[in-house]
Amino acid sequence: MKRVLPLLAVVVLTSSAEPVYSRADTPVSAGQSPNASLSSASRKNFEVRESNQLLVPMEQVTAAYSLDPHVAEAQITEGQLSIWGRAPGKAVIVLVNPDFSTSWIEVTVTQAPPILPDGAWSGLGSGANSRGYYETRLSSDPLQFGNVFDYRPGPFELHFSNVVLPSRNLPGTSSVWFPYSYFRFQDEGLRLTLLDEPVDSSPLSVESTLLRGAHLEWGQIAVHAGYTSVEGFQSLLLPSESQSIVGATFAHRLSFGSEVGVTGYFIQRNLASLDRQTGEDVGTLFFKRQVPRGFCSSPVMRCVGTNFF
Amino acid sequence: MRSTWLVTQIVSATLLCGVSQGQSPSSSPIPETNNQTTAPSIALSPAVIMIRATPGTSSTQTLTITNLTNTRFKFVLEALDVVVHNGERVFVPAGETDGGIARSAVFDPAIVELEPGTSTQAKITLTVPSAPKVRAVVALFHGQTALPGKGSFMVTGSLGALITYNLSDDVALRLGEPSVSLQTDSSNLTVSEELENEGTEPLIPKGTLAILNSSGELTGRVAIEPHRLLPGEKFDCAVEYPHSLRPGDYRAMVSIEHEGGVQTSSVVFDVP
Repeated sequence: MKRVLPLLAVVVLTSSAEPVYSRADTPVSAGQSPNASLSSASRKNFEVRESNQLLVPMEQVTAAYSLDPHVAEAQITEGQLSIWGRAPGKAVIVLVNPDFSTSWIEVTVTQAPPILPDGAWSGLGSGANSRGYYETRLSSDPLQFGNVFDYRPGPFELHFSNVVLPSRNLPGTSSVWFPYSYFRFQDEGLRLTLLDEPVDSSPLSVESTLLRGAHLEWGQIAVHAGYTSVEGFQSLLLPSESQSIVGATFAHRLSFGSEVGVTGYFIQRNLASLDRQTGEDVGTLFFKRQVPRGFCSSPVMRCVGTNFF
Repeated sequence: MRSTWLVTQIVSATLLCGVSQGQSPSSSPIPETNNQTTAPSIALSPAVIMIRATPGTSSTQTLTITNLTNTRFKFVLEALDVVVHNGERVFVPAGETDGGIARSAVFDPAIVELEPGTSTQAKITLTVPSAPKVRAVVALFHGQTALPGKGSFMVTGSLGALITYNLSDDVALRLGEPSVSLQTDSSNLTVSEELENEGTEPLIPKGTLAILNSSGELTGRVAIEPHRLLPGEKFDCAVEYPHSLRPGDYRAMVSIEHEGGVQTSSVVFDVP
């Protein structure tokens, strides 16, 4: 039911989110070296979650380094500024231009949500007679409140989580967001989920995507309609950088843990994509085989995915 | 953070301090620990207190002193203003500096006596004058217990806690021209730079030394540890780059972050 989301989520900001940083070549004082300069920064801050990476298109910057490497690391690769959040806190990133003038930006690393153990039910009240639990967390730096509520009466299941970050003052974003919540009904092969569900249809269509909307699974058919966000729903229920996804998957189980299927999706073009010619209608055929742990490490066995379209 | 005064040389000082004067009412024994491998020491905590205030305000701070020696110690508490002359700190007795803060100090208690293995607390109340000229005060635990030194000399030891005041946002840091001492077979490459606090408030600059190659790409970096600078104080910041650089042209970027922002200076050098 719960799945462990990948720890590493690469978030690509759109070109509109390019930082407005100013270059500084102003000498600090007349007594200083001509090479000495006062770096300046825009008020625009960046935010990245702990253990996540943020990629920002950055032209005319040859190098970047963090003044707080225990909080965040930074480097320039192929015209992109890569920021890696290591621990909650604030970090300053210095950017070096081709003429060796510098500027700097501030990065806030937010705390990652707890990784709960796998299983049909997890939480503080995981005993046999427990129907739910509530958990609240307080982090001090940066100040952050987190709430998780789970309730499962009979075939229904409710999961609610929200995070409040009072110090979050990014323009156009909220200090309150709901990263993962759902209401689910499950009974005899039928599963109906409203709001969030991780979707794993096929590698060439929709995979490892948290979709917010309506989800129906009935036997071999799964239908999904909703939207996702590259920012991981780090705003209120309707994120600004949303991407609509509608489609269905038909999967037929074979023997030996194998599965064959077909998917058809409408995937709204990602605003962050640099390729404006990306198609929006996607159809795939897939063959999956679940192999035992360590099976793929054999030197004579390969696991291959094939693009049929 | 604790200010610790090591007194390893006075392990046998018990004989010197044979006059017992009774335990201070506020002192308390500290839990017994295995001190057989720990050098005898006296500790004062906290070592530094940073206060953001406005002129005319008072504040009270609590200091804890711990005696981890076998000797009974007596301290008289006093406050000193910290002023900067020629870029270096000078401790001036209370009342001798115009606009000083130390003259307002009130200690409770004013005298501390510490039995071996005990700790006690003292409160200091300071009031910032309406036109303050200094930004730091030392709360000094002036040692009164004489200890044997070299030969026939007797010595006393004192500990102090630094209390700094930030009264405005007027911060300014001057970065000097960086200089490079190239790597040799027996020494690392070192980049030196003078930092001077040109503002009116204390600063704690820290930063990073980054080495860029001739293409402007990052080759390596070293963290520059925080260093407190009172107004007018100077500091020669020397950073060693621990790795060996291949021959070529490089640029050392020294980025310093402080309460007023980030400043970067750079210098070009060549590794033959």
